Amino acid sequence: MVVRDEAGTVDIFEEIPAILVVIVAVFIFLMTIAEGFISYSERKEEDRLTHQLESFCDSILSFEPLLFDSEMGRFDSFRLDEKGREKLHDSFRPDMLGFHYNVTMADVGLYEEKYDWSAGEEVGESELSRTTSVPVIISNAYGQNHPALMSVTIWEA
Amino acid sequence: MGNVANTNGQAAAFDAVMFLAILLVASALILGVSTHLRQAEDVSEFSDLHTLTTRTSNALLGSTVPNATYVDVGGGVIVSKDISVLDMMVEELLLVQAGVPENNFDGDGGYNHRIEQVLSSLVDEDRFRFELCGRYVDVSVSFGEASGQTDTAARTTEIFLPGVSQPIRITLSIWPC
Repeated sequence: MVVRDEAGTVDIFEEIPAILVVIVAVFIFLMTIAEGFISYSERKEEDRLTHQLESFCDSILSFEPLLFDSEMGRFDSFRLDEKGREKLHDSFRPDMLGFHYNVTMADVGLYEEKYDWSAGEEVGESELSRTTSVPVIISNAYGQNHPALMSVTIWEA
Repeated sequence: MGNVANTNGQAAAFDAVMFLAILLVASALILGVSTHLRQAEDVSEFSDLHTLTTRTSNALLGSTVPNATYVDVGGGVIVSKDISVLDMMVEELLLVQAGVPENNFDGDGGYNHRIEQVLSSLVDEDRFRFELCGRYVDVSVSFGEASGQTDTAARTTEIFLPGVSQPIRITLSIWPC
């Protein structure tokens, strides 16, 4: 009887550490899988937004109502005004696109006159947003081509 | 009986440790594959670099500056107004080929200074390095750093002049810092 009792006691106390090790191992493994899955989901979401940004950026660069001589990436300073803003908004409505956006042109040329312009909404606070900066030209009627940086930010509400 | 029980207990602990080791290896593999996939996806950033280089080249060469100067062979200062970067580079290469010293295009407000100003304003120097190089026959002018990187994206523009077989080649190279 004594021997059985001792064996029973020993069995339990020797298997508890083994079970604990198994639990830790399974926990680590599950955490790794969860981390991988979350990482994959986030990456997929980021990629989707990045593709949307690229596509939207190309659409702006070839948006005829703002272009000079219909040349992609070359904007007409005369058209970068309130009307241009409205045309952009009418053609690219956030509810149709599925995301919000802000487009800003910063004239970085050496001329005194600057053609800074922006359209869309104020950049909102969102965990998921994407921004890109594209070198473009803003041309005017005097034959001047101002180098500019067009920043496009998109985000989901 | 007691010894048998002890042996079983040790076997269980050993099995558990083996199980832990196998799962750790599996976890490391999952993390490794995940990291590898991310690195593989970085290839898309390289294609983005090509797009960036093409767009930067187009904007750069088409941009004009209000004025730019150089000193001709006779010592006179030539002022060009609303001249594009492309025209400045072509003119400089042709004139240097014809015998005008290269340093006649240096100095404040000179062709080289103006080209550097426009180039610097279009490239995010915190993220990228660049080299702009123009070649014509045996003459060349360059701006920025010499590219020694393997992940460099380059865009070459060729200009053919009437009656001349060799084109003027202007290459913009951009690579990440």
